[in-house]
Amino acid sequence: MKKSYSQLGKGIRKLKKHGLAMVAFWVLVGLYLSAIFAGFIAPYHYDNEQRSLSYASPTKVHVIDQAGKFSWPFVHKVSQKFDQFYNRIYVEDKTEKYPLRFLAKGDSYYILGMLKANRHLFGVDSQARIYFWGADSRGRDLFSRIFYGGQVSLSIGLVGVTISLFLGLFFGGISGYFKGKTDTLIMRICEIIMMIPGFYLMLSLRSIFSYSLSSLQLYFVIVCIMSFIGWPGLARVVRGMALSLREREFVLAARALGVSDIKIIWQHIIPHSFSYLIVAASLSIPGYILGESALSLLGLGIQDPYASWGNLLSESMAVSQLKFHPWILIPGAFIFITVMAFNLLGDGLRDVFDPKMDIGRKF
Amino acid sequence: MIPRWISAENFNMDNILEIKDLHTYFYGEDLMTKAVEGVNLPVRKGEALGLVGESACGKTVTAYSIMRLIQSPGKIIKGQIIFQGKDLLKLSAREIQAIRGKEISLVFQEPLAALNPVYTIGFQIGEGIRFHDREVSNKNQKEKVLELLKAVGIPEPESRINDYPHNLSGGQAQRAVIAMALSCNPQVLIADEPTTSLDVTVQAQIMELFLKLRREKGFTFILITHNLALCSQVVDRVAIMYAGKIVELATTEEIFNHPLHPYTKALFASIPKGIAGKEKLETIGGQVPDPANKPSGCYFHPRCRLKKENCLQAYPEYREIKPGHWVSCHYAI
Amino acid sequence: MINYIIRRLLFFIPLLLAVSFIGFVCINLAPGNYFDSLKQNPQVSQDTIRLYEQKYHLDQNVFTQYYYWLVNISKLDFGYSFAYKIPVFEVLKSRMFNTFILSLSVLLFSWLIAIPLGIYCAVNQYKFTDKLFSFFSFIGLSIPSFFFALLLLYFASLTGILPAGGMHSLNYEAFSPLGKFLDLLKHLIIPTLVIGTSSIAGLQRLMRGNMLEVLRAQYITTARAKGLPEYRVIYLHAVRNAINPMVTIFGGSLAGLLSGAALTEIICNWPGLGRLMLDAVMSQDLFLFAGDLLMISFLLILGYLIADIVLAWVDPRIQYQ
Repeated sequence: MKKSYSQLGKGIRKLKKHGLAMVAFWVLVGLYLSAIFAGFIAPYHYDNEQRSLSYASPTKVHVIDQAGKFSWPFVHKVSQKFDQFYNRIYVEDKTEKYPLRFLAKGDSYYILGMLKANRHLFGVDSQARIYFWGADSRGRDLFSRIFYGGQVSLSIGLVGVTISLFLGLFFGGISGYFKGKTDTLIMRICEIIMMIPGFYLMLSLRSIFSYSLSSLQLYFVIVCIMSFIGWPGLARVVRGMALSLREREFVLAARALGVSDIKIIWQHIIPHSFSYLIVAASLSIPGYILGESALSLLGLGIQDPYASWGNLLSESMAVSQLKFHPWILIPGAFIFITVMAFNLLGDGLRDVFDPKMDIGRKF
Repeated sequence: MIPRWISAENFNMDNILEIKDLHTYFYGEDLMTKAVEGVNLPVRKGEALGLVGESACGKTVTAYSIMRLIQSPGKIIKGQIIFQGKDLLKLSAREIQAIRGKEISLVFQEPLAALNPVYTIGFQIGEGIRFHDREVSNKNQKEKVLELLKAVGIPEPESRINDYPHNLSGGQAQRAVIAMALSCNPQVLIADEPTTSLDVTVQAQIMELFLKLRREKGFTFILITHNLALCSQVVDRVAIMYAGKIVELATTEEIFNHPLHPYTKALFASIPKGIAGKEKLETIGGQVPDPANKPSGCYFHPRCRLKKENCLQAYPEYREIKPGHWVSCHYAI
Repeated sequence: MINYIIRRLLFFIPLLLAVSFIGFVCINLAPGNYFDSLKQNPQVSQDTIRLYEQKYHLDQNVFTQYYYWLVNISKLDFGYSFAYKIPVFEVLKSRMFNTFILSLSVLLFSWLIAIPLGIYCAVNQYKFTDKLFSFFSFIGLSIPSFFFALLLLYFASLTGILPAGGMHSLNYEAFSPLGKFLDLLKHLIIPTLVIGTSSIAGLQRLMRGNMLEVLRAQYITTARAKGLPEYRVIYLHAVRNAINPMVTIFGGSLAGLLSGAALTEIICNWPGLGRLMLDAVMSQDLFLFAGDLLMISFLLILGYLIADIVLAWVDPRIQYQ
């Protein structure tokens, strides 16, 4: 295992020279941190509805008051009216100012499911609402829901890829190492799974489960579906490595010494595959995120009231209405940025470890 | 008013090609390689000149520079290459294309790599003819190609004309490449290690072919090789190159009988002469300098037996020690 | 060659069966079936429902059902769609045609743009335009298809230049044949753009890579040494060699097309096989689902088969492996 650490160290030093990949790395760190502290960053709980403010536009934050002087940022209360064309518009009530408060008290939330807190990064008194990026159909703050949604979308990527990695390592390892019938069988299974176009496989697997599952079960189901679709790809990579490594001297030496096969796989084959796996994993995470987003977008994934970037976008499917509330598309931008970041990172890692690596993107 | 493409100095009517102070460098990620560093080489009309040196000494780069085939990351930094009164390095793209293949041609080291795998040799040989002379009709072109194939000694040219490069053996491919190079009757033919990748018997045949063609067509011949022995049979004058510079230039007879530069002498010494097993193989100790990291002063000094103090300091001047015999060494006698 | 085709068929057909079986099993495992909603309806008698269930073997185990389904497939009877109330084959026919049009459009669009773009970028390597296209290429590969589709549809509905989804305008039937064709083209633009963009990004990279490799080859220097003009060197000598590996990509890209198209079809409301799949899953329309999956897999395998055959034709060594 030491070998993989030194490889990792060398890799990280080289990576630092790759400007773009480092930017991608920090963007991802930022996104994941924001997911962990979503409750703090978001002024409202994801389920905090206000139906009278359905599809409210982003709240204007003013810094110049009525008298024309600079003042501490504030917002006005907003209410719904209809204009001459019977379109819904929101009008500010300029009589009262509600200052923007930092570290404001608000809805309570949990950090990492354990610590309870109720201070938020920013907020306003409860009579007014601050919709930084507008509101959705039920008047819920999109900004808040996006960060809560990040918790689901981003974690599914990591959890899914981890499970796939374990499955891939296991099956790929024994397949490549033991060869023979086991190998053929496992590879056939991989081929069948990989042959079915991803979207259709996802739909098929989803159909097995009922449509009325609890949110936790649903999360678990989605992760399992994505892992099931993803493991054959990783297994093939591992198998390739195992096949080439098993003939190397140090492996033959270990076998001659009588080391058990499992130990060989664990101590030798896996550390050497490390770099390949990191690259493959990094480039395949976007697939998991996109898969979950697609499912949720279609209404088959994470359900209301929980948020995921995909299901936040589902309201935008009514395209003709989008012009009235285009901010509903913002979660899509988050998915886009995350996918780009993982791709940049994966490409950078691949260049660092071995530019000739034959690992492409998995989606 | 002298047009820009005529060099005022040393305009020698006898020289068909004259390389003056050519510098061609390659720019890598961190380093710059001076592949050709100040080469001066006059080539007389109708002669056969041998350009000899070990690998990475810059001979191929020189040939490519003449034809202006140097691509990034390489660049011809400075110098002049005078041909027919014009400086080739100052010509426009169109003008140099008119020269390539028509006036000056190149034969490459690996014939099978030099031919495009998806076109027949008939097509590739005939291509140049068409492009350099628009008047040529299809029929004419085909006839010419067949003529050329016969001239280079490819049997059954009528059937071979439609063969693809991978249908040919190395020797036949090289003949095809020679045919291609001579298709427009150039004045100068440059051959870059034309026999290095071929079998020994075939080597002899190809050299024979060059001699025959030279007799028939009378072009100026520049033979680039690392094989000094080859030169003795074929060329009139020899130029020895080392680490990007010419170190000695003289007639074949002079070079063979009175080599002056220590490198040339060492090259001769290392030609196996005796009966196998009876004589020890002479080698030149050390290695060819890394083109990106050349030694100070005279480039040969790390391997030279005559090395003295100032060999490390100053690069020896390239001077005419005897009439027609140029050397670049502090201590050549 | 026939031998080779037979061997490939022997490989693909079991695969096809396996895939269809998996799909069949999946939808069968789904709790309940289509008739559940009917069972709630007091107007429909339980006996009628039971009769239906018996007729379609829904009361028997998976393997029996699958067996009966296979038998019917061999007679080209894809079964009956509960939701559409017509034979599955009829539904599939029209949808297949629509997906085919879209795929063809994407294929033409992406290849006709990617190949020249790849050539251009290779020839102008390191210049600003190359870097610019590299950047766009990366964006094109990374942007989620549904996001891109939604964005385009948003702008379409905002500006009204293009129709925001669907395949035909409302007054389609009233158009002349030319009008119908143009209307179709207008509706094709957004879905083609969405699917085509990632396709172009990938293809262009490949072509560029191939060109760069070929441009380094000795025979290109030879061509220049012959005094040929640069355009001839590139288009006649380089491109001709760089294109060869792309032939194999062609079949593989069909697979990617089919997969990527489904989500875009749904969002753009394009009535194709992908959209159909979603409907079938949502309504648990067993035979429609199985038939659709079979059709998709079949088209996929057809694509791979064609690719393999073309490759073998271009490179005779492959046949003897």
